[in-house]
Amino acid sequence: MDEIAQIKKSLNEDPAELKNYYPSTENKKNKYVLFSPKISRFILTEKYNPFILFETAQILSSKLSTIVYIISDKNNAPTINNESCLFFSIQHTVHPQDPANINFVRQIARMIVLNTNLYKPGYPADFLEASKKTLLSKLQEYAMFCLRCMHAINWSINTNDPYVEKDQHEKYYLENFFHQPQVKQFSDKILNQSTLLSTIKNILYECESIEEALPKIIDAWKPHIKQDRTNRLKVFFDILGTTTPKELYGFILPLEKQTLGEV
Amino acid sequence: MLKLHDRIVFGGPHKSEYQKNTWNDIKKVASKDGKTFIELYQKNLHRYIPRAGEWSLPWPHEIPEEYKMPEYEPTFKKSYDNICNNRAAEIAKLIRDNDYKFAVMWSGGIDSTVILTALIKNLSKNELKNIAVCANASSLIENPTFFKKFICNNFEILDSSICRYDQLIEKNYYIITGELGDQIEGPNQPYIDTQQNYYYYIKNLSSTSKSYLISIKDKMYDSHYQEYKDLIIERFGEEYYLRVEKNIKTANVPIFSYYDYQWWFHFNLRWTTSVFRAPAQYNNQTHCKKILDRLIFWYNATDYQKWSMVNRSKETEFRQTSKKYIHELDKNDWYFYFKTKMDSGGHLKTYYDYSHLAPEQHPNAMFGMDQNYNRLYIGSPDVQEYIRHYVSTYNCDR
Repeated sequence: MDEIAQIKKSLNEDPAELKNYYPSTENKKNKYVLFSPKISRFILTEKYNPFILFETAQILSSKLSTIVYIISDKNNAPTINNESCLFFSIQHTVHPQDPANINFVRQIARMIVLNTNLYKPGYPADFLEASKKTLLSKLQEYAMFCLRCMHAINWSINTNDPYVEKDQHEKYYLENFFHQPQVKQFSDKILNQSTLLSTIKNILYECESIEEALPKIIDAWKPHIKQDRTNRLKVFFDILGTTTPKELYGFILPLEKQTLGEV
Repeated sequence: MLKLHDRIVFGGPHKSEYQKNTWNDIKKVASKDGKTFIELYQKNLHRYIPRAGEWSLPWPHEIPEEYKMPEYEPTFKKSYDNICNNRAAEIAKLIRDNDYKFAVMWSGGIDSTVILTALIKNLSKNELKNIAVCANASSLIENPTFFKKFICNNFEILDSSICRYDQLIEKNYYIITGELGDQIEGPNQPYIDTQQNYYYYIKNLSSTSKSYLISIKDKMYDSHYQEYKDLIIERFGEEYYLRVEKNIKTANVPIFSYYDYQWWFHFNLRWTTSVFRAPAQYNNQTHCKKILDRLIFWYNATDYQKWSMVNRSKETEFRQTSKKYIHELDKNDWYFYFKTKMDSGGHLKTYYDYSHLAPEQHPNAMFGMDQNYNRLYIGSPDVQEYIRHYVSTYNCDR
C-alpha cells in the first residue's frame, strides 16, 4: 500500500496540516513524553497536546504499561525527540506512596507532571540485539502512528459539520451531560452503537502494526463518508501523513445527492 | 476460644484503626525488651512466620504440613515448563476421575496467565469444559489480547468482582489461585519498588554511601546483599536487616545477591501470609478450613518450590521464564517484552464489600488464625489475654 510507505516516511516530521491546528508551536519543545516502566525509557514525545498523547497511551495500554509525563519548565530537561528519547530515563525520586510512583502503574494510562530529573543511561541494554532492536523500533513506529491517528480523528471529527458525525456527538452528549436513567428510552441505540471514533480507537487498541491497522481504518471510514461534504477525509489523511486513499473516493456521495442531516 | 498453648498459623495485631486500643495496650505491657517488639510491630515483622531458619516471635506458631518448605535440592533439574505441564495434568486427572469443576482466578497478570496457559496447553477440549475463568474488568484491561484470543467464547466467565470464594464453593467449584507466584519467580513488589525508587530511598544517606550505592544500582542481581546494607536499613529498618540476615544464616538455602535476599524474604517468611490472607478475609465468615479445602494454590507444589530455590537467574529477575511459557502459546511479543510485573492484590481488595460485617468482624479487626483455622478477632477477651501474655513475656532474641 502506497499510503503505508507515505505514513512511515512522514512519521519523523510533524505534518504541516497539524501545525495549522496548533499555532505558535514552531519552536516549542517536546514537553509531553510517554514513559515505559518496563524498559525504563521514553518511547514517544509530543509537543502539541497532552490529552492526545494521553489517549495514545490508553490505546497502547493493550500492549504495554505507560505513563505520560509532563516535563515542567522547572525540570531544566534536555530537549528530546522520538529518536533520542530511547536513550533517556528518569531518576525516580518521588515518595513511594505518591501516585507518580511507577510501581502503581498497571495497564490504565496516567498522566503526571514529572518532578524529577532526566538522565541518559543510553539505549536499553536488553534491546541491543538486532531482533530486539527491530521489535523496539516497531513499537515506537506503531506508537507514533497511533499518536498521529488520534490527532487526525479528533481534528477530523471536531472541526467539521456536527451533523456529519451526528451519532458521535450525540453519544458524547448523552454519556457526559445526562444521567442515563432519565434518558434511557432514547439513549440505548445511540450508546450501544460504534462511532467512527470508537471504531478507530478499537482498531488501534487491537492491532500491532501500521500494516495491520491502516486497511481496517480505511474500511472503518466507508460507512461514514457518504456525506463527506466537509473534507473530513482530507483532514484525517493529511494529518496522518498520506493522501486520501483512492478506494474511498467511490464511497463519497456526490454533492448534489447530499442533504443536511440524514441521507 | 483461644488458649495460651494454641499456635498461630497466620496473623498478629496490626496498625489499623480497628486495633488502636491493642496497640496502646501493647505499649503498656511490653517487657523490657518490648522496645524490640514495638520495632517489630511497627515494621509488621511480627506477622511473618518462618518456614526455615530462625525468626523469633512472641507467640507459639506453626506452619501446616502442606505449606512447609521442601528440602533444598541443589541438583534439581526439572524445567519450569515441565512443572507447569505436570501441574495441569494433575487438574486434568481430577476432572477425569471426579468430574470436578474449577474456577481459575485470572487477574490478567503473569502468574494467573501461566495457569490458564498450562491448562489450555495440556487439557483436552472436553476437560476444558470443566474450567471457568473468574475475572473482572481489570483483568480484561490487564491482558486484552489473551482475553480475546483464548478466554472469550472459550470459557465460562464469572465476575470476580462479585463472586467471593464462599460463593464459588457453593456453586461447587474448586478455586485455583495464582497466589504464591510472586514467591516462586521474582521480582516481588519490594524488589521492584526498590529498583524503581532507588534514588528516593538513598537520598538521605551520607554522600559516601550514596555514591557507592549509585555505582551498584544496576547490580542488584550480581552484588552481595550486604553491599546494600545501608539501603536496606534506610528502606526497612535495622531490625529487619538483622533479623533477615540471621534467618538467612540459620537456614540451609544459599542466599547471595540483593535479589536473592528479597526473594528469600517472600519465599520463606511471606509464604503463609499469602496463603491465609485471602481465605481469612475475602469471604462471608465461612470457616477457613472449608475454604482451604476447596482452594488450590497452583504454585504451592514441591517442584515449583524446588525449582525456585535453584533458579534465581537473571532471567527470572523479570519473570521471563513465566512469560516464555505464555509466549509459546500466545506468541504475543508485546506481552513478552514489555509486560511489567505489577502487584494485583491491592486492587482486587477494593471489590470486596464488608458492609454486611459487624465492625468487630471486619478483616482489619482480625488478629489472625489459629492452628485449626479459626479466625481470631482482636476484640475477643481471649485474644486480648493471649497477646498481653506473650508480649509481656517476650524476650526478643534476635
